[in-house]
Amino acid sequence: MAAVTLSKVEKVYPNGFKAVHGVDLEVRDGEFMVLVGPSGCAKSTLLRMIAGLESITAGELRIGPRVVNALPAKARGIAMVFQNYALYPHMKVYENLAFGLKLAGTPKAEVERRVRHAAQLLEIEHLLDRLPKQLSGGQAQRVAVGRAIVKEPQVFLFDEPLSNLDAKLRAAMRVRITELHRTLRDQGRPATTIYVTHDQTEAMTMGERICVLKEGVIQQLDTPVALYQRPANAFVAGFIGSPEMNIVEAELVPSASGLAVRIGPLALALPPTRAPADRTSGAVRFGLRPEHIGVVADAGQGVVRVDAALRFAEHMGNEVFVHAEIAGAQVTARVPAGRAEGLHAQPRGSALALYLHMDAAHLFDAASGASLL
Amino acid sequence: MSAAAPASPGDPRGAAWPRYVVLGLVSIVMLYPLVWLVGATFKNNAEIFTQIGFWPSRLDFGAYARGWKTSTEYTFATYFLNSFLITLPRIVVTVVSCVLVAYAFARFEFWGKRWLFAVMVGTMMLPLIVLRLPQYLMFREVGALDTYWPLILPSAFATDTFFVFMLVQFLRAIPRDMEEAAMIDGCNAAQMLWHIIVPLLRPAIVSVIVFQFIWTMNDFMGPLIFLASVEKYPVSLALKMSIGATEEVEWANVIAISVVALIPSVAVFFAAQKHFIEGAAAGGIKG
Amino acid sequence: MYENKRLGFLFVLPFVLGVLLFKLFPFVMSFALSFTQYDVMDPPVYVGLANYRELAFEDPLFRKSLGVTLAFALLAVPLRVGFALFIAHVLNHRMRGINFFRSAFYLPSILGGSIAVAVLWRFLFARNGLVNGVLGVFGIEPVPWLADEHYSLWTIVLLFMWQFGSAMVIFLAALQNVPQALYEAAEIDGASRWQQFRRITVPLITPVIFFNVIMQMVHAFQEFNAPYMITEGGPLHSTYVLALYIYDQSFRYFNFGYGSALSWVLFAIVAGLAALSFWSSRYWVFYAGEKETRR
Repeated sequence: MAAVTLSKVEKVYPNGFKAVHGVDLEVRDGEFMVLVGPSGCAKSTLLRMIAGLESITAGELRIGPRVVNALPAKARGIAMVFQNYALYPHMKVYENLAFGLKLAGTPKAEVERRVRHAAQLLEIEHLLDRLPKQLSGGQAQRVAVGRAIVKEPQVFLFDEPLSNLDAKLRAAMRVRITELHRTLRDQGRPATTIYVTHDQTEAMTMGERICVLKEGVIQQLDTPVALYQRPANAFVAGFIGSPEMNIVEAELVPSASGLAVRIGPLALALPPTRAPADRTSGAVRFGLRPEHIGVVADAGQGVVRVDAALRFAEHMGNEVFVHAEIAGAQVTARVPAGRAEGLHAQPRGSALALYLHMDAAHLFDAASGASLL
Repeated sequence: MSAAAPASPGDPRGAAWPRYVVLGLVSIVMLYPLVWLVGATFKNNAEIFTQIGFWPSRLDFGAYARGWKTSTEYTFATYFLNSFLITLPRIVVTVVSCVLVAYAFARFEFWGKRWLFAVMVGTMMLPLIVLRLPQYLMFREVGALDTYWPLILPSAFATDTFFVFMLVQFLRAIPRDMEEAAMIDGCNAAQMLWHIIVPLLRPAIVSVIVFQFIWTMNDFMGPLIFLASVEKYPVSLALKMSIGATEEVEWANVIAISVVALIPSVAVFFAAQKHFIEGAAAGGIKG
Repeated sequence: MYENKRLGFLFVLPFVLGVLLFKLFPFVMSFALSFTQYDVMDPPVYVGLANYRELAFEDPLFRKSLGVTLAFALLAVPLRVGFALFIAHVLNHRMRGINFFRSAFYLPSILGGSIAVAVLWRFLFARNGLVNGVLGVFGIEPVPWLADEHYSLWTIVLLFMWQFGSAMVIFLAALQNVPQALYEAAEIDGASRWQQFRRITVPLITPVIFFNVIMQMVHAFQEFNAPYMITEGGPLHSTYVLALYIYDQSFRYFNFGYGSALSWVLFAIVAGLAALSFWSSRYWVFYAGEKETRR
């Protein structure tokens, strides 16, 4: 097992397009690191550069103590799980798993041992004699993971492995992969893993640390909880969490008790704990997560009541997403089903009282999006 | 091939029976001559020229025996052997060279790639006769006339650009994922080719083999230009000989041996049908 | 691995050598020879443009051959391509037996170039051959197919048409790729079947039509086996296509210089027609799925 370090890594394509801008990233030995971001953020490019499938234009890549920029993929000690599984269609599952080992000249007994062990870990022993086309999506993906495991690499690389699976299977595989990682670590064989996905749910549930990327630049690198509670900028705040955080253009104004956030005619008192360090006025972006907006008067510091107009309510069974309008801005509130009874019967546009928990408010610079807290 | 065709292809609207009528008629017109000619091999000259029905009055295999023996000192056994001596080596070198070159075009970057590809497409349109003349002189210089070299050697250098083109198109449609996985698994170029690329190309390679077999067996102009000794003649030249000589031809014999000459091609065609036609459609190949 | 330019070049090397040796070098040699008088026995003699002058002004046989070749191409290519499209359209229907018909029509196209079929064809069109026999059933007088210069070219044209299967297969694949949903939308819009064919089917398959026309045109100009075997260029040179003339000049009379000049004329014609087709294609070939760019 090894740590992976990227120093000022850049990628420029022959046509001049700069996909990766000076990325510094350290993945600790045995850590499960997730690279997440929207399409085009270069997360897959970064992964492929680590794998050796794309060249590195500038900067240094280390796996363990070695600088591997010039090493071909097979010499880097990595294993990769592809989005489309990339199983060899003309070989049986056993052969697929054994292929890399055989190429490296591994003795037959050792090959057998490793293949059986991986098959057992992934519960695919009964599939060893089958061809890839005879496997279901989930089974094929497990074989792809198995192929990575048998190599006993220093680093595991996952390239959006669950994107091709249906929602239920995805949830099950998420758990399986995470469990596998934790199990290997408990057994004393920690597996450094770099996992790429565009799905923030996968990122939040699987990663020990998450690296949020946008257009080739790291936005924030932190634990899931930290990303959620203390996003470094508006992009991260909006990307992490579902439904998205409500972000509204507003103005910071002084008020009787200190500072307030003004949206249209409304002035929302800001608790001192959420006051920005460097300013007391100016245009800002005001962010509040849906679960911090209620429809019932709650006791608590910094709860501000506002008048809103109901647009519509989405019933999820255990909770309701209430879409409303406050002073011209559209927001979403997330409330337990018990508290939202009767809301769906109310016509569109009817008046609604919303309670904003300002002690969970986020403020971002109107131009750069950086967090002001 | 482009986007997926529907599960059961074709226009579902309208009645099918008028189409069957048209297709049936066309099939009869197209195939009846072949059927009739097989029947003709069992008839004698008189019967051939008076009857349009194909069923012979008696099954006389004599025409086959006489045609086989020919009027030369060699039987068609020699000529068929010669055809195979040309065809089989040619197929082997064609497959090897075309796969290598197609792999290069489809996957690698190298100097002059675009230019070379344009040359490849351009030379597909070159009338063959334009090249035969100088090639004749070239081979004459090295004393290779009246051997099989002029017929086999060019194919060892991937000059059958139809096949290169077809293989390139086929390979381009295959995603690179498996090759990337193989690179990580530790393949070098030769291992990649053998373990991954060739198995993936199998249907296209079958098409190449089938087409090259049929075209080479039927090749006439090449042997005509490069071969001189009768004992080296393949079936195509021997056929020409059998009707060239005299005015009064025992037609049943000639037709019989023509039918026999076609059997290998027809057999290979039916054996590999599925690969064959789909490969041709995908690559846009000549008949 | 794939960015390794040296490796890539190594793999493509056989082709580079092949093109140089067997295509480019002969090509250039042919051009050079066309300015000489060369009979293989003695070394070539430089004669400047004499060969070209001769074929342009003093060789009625060349003009006849050129005329025959052009007539053949102008007849055979549209007939073959048109018929292939027609049959492909008929076949493009959800019905059983498609594979049977596809094979049945494809088989002649791969056998058709063989000498065996040429022999058989010669026989079919003989004065008392099968074709006249069938015509006789309908009360038509026997036609002197091979003996009369007005009919002989038709035997070659018909053989060329008989091999429509290869073009048909390509058309069929293209037709099957036109999404059914387009026809359904057109039907709702009120288009008749014929209008659908003209306004939806044909425009969408213009790239394939273009491809087939070019390929068949090249084949038509190269036609050699059939005229050689069936009619031997006659009667009275009515089927004496350029490929035959070139062959005779080069390998029968050993006028390699003149033969080369003739080859180059043939090449120039084919290249010219191909270039013309490519140029004209911007106006009538429509590639779906490609973004419109400024010309």
